[in-house]
Amino acid sequence: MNKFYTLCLLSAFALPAFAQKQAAAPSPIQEYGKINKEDLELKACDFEKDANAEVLFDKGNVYFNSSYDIVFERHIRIKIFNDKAKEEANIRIPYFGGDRSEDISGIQAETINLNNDKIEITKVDKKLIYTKTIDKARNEIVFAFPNVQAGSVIEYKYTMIAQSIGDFPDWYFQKDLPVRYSEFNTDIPNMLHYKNLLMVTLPFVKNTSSVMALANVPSLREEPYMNSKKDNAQRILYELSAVDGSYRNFSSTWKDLGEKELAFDDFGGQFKRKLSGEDVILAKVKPLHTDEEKIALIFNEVKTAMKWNDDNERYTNDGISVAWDKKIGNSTEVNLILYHLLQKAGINVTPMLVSTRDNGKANPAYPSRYQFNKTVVYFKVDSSNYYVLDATNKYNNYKDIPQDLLNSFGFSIDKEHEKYDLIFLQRTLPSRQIVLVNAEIKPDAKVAGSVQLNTDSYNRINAIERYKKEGEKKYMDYLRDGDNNLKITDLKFDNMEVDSLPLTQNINFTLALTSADDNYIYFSPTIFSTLHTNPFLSENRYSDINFGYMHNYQISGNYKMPTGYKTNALPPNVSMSMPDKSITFRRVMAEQDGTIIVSYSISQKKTIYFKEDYDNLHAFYKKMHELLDEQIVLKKS
Amino acid sequence: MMCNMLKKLLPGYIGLSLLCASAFCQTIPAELYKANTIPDSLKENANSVIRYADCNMIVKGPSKIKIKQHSIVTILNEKADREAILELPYNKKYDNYSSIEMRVYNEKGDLLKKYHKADMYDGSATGGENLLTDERFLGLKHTIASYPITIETSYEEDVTSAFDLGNWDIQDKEQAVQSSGYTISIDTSLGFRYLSRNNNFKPIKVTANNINTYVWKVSDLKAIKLEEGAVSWRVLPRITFAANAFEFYGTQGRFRNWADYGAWQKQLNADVCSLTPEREAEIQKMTDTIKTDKGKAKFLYNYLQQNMRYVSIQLGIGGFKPFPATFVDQKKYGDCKALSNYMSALLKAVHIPSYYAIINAGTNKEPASPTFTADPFNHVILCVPFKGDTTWLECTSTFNPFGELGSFTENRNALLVTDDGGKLVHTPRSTMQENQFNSETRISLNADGSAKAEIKIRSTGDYRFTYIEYSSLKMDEQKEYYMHTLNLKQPSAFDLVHANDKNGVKEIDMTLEYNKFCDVMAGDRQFYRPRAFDLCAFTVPIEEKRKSDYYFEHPMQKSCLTVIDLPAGFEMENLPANQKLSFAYGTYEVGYAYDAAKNQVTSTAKFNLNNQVIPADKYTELQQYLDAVAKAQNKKMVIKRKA
Repeated sequence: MNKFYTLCLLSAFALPAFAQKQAAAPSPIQEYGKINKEDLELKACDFEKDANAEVLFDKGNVYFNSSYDIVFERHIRIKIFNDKAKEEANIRIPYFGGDRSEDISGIQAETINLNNDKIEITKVDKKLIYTKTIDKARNEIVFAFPNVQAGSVIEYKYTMIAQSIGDFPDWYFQKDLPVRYSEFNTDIPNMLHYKNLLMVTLPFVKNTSSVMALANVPSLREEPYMNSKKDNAQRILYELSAVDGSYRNFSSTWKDLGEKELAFDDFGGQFKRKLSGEDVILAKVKPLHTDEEKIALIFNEVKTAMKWNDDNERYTNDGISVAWDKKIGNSTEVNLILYHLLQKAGINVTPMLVSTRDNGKANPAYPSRYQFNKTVVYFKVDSSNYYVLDATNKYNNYKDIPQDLLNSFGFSIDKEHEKYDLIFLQRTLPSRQIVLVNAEIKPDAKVAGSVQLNTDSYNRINAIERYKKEGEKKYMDYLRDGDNNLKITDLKFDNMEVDSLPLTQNINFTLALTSADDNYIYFSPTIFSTLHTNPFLSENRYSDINFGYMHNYQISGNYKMPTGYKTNALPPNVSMSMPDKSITFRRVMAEQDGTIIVSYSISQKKTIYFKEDYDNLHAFYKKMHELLDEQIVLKKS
Repeated sequence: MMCNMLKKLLPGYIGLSLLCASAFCQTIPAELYKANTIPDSLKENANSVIRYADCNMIVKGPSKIKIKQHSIVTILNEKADREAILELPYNKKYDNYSSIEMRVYNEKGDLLKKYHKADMYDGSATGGENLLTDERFLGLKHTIASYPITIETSYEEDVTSAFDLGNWDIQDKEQAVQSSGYTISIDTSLGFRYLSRNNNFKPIKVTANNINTYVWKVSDLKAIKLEEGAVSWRVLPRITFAANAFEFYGTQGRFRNWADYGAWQKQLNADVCSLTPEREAEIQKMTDTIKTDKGKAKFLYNYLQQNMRYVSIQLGIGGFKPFPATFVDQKKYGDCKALSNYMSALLKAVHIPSYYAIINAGTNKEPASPTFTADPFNHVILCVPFKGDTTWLECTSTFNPFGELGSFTENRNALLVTDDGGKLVHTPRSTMQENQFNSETRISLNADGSAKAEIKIRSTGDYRFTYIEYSSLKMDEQKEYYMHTLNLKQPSAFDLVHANDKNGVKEIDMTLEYNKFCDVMAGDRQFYRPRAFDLCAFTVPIEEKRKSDYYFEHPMQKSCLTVIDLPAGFEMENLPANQKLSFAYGTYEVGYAYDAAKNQVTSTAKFNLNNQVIPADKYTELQQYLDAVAKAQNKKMVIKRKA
């Protein structure tokens, strides 16, 4: 990751504006009840052959009625290709109906079949459209389409009225099903101003101030190392920014937003709140000399004292004083407590609004608090180093940026210096995993030896978290990859409780090499590497790949050969890298005085790959796993 | 079998809450609120400890039930966080909760917080695969700041609709019990019964003023850890209660035996189990050229599978009364009850009798007890009693072959609803011959280590069901699934085709190309795994003292015939030895033959498991057997360039 990349990323956000090429016009929307026979005869989705159903079109119209309610008219038509998609014909439309702030009316729904070349329409009986009360705030319209067969087309429409002008519907062009055509029309009175957060990378079919449309939108899927589904969905979100003459929420700049946050009682208003017994902690800090020591101490005090209630919020709920007394709070409460104490200890820290990976990447071109979902604490060590502190996770440490914040922007709010900065949170050093094996192979094809497993930063955190959550037995099963032939006879940890040092695991093991026969012994020197599965088996890729941080693996092994055996095949020395040199793999093997010396190293220099790079990544991982799987063969002499 | 088969379940039976115990009327020793007074023996394997529990149930008439419950549970770690959740299911008409209280105490036993009914969330209990039901729940969750913590809950419940009187689940897995008790006072005329599972706790019985009172007390029960492959209903202690008369959603019934239960359901179905005369005539016409009743039934079952779809909308009499057959006929959808009832109506139209069959569905789920009538069910299927050839139909599936149930409902007791009331009948157990996985594979090796493999898989029974379920995934996901489950080496090109699915046999064809199939190349020698995939790609963990039986999903019969063409210019140097392995419930066999003239290896492998339940005392034998199978599959073939 480098500055250049950051620039690319910034310009990627601006991309939609340039990408308004006109795609060929498909047969777009039809009136309710009118249908082309071709759609009923359609056998598969043109642009996604393995889809079991397809949205033929999805149309939304938003306008305002005379009492300034938001009126949202929706009409959607879905093609069912086969039995596997019949569940698409069960519909749930959730809404906030408890206080009538939203209401749904005018529901019409019908199934359209082609029966002996004749179009046959079966309407959903009004009596069978149910309104379910989920709880005091939420309702749900529920119904099932009748007479659904492979080949059926189902369609429904409804009108949702929202009483608040702030409740503007979001529009997702992309869904779990492929969408042939999706169109969103808006008619907004001049006096109302909405800000759009547009996330569209596909070419628009229509794009004017009042209508946007996309065609042939592939289905949204879950892929390994993808950002959130939200980040990948083609969509547009609306935020009310101003009403002429009265209301103004418009944050035109980050500075503007920062000042608003500072003035907000549930954020800036919390900074100076007193915490009961804080003097005790501050007294402990006093004798310490460096900022780092002070940060380490306060961070651990807060992490130990406070329990996070699993809620990510960008503002406080009970406030930090109450949360501190209860010893529980949301993520902003926990971290504003941390901020408060650090500040009191004289450390130059700032609160920082961030967005977790699930919540989606924060967009620096869009100054809005709604992008963020939690607060952390930011500390600038020097011109190139900084800490991002999050005390909500018991396994976090002060030195490593929390994993779910990597490769996104944080918004630092520096009240004292009136500085409001967006900072791209990235880790420039890789997280290492070093496996050192010392073993002896016996003539009976049994191996006995020891392993030292060294991990730092995220690999360290992940190992400790797994060990503490799952317990020793399950942790050992994980290290053994569930192999009954591999037995761990001893496992000892060094530095588990010292955040600043790498974690060392000392393991004694025995292994039975079960593929051995009368003549040959085979073995794979990649035990304990945890590199057994290739995450990129899929032939196609639909989203960018975000590793979060760089991984650096090293495996070194000394294997004493059994007497009476000679190496028959030693995998050759190999060095290979990605075309852009962003990942390199090296393998070196040698035999010396009856000992086989092996060394593997994988080093990564980049954390984000565009989906267009996938072919290279796929090919590299395939080759790398083939090389990792290659075995050494010993032959009886 | 498949996770989404669970969609067929009925909504959970709502009525009596499980974790039962009485109110704050007694004085509880202060020690029970303190975490440090828990004996060490009760902490072993425990995530939580029931310090005290008391449930007091008074039954005055059929389904006139008053419950007072009181419990104190210490939570030791985050794995037992659910103990800080109080969830009370209810139906607006028939359940009323009062005096709900939850109190939270710290490690030392100091009160931290109190919750009341007003703090509770009131929500719909419909979710997941269920589209719609009438059921609701009250919920409360305390977020725990630090461990250990002690949660005391108490409430009173008035119930006026129930089938049986619920279960007492004495302890959950990884939960110890310091002391717990259950008291039931019931009118002698109601005929109280109970059934104990995995325990021998006996109640003290007292009779006075026509009231029988039963009191159970248990103490110092150590936590139980569920072993891998074990089923909880065979391990955890539980007592089920029932009376001989009930009132349910306004309908009365007797409940002395299974015949009573069936008679009640029969009367519920009476007005919904027929088609209109016009439709009956049409159905008759559709089938009038088919000679046998079985042929007609098969035709109509296919008609159902092609036209009707499963939708879980469960309304009416607590989700027990099926939607009318005429409704399904028109709308072409229904839940398991509605579809089974509809299938029965189709058969009735052509004068074939059939029985609505109520069952507890799910792989390896607990069967209903023949001697104890209660309501352990969650699903409905249909039984067609052809002479000497009883046929069972799963009416929610679009792909089950006629008469095949699968692991979802096989080998357990179903309650048939007949004219003479209910009859408990065992569903067939599938044999290994009915769950087959057979493959033919041809591998062509090239001198440079590349290869092409063609794999044909023919599956029946649960294998077929699984592969049909997976066929709804994206093609990329399906390929990954097969690479993982069959342990296929990652190919450079992969073509996957869902070929025929006829007569209960599904065929999948795979063509895989490898630029490197060879494991190791060394000079003139090449080393290979002599197959394209693992016939048995799993082992089970080593356990020192296995306590509970191990459950497979079904018995199985697997085979693979592999033909390998050696590259021109190569000959065989070393073939793995032929092997025969066996244990009490299965055999594995593999044989290799080299035909020098064709320069071809033919291998056959067979893996059979004739019983899906492996008794605990045979577990180690199973583990060693599977390890030996893995070892046999690990052997290599060595070929070398001809001199």
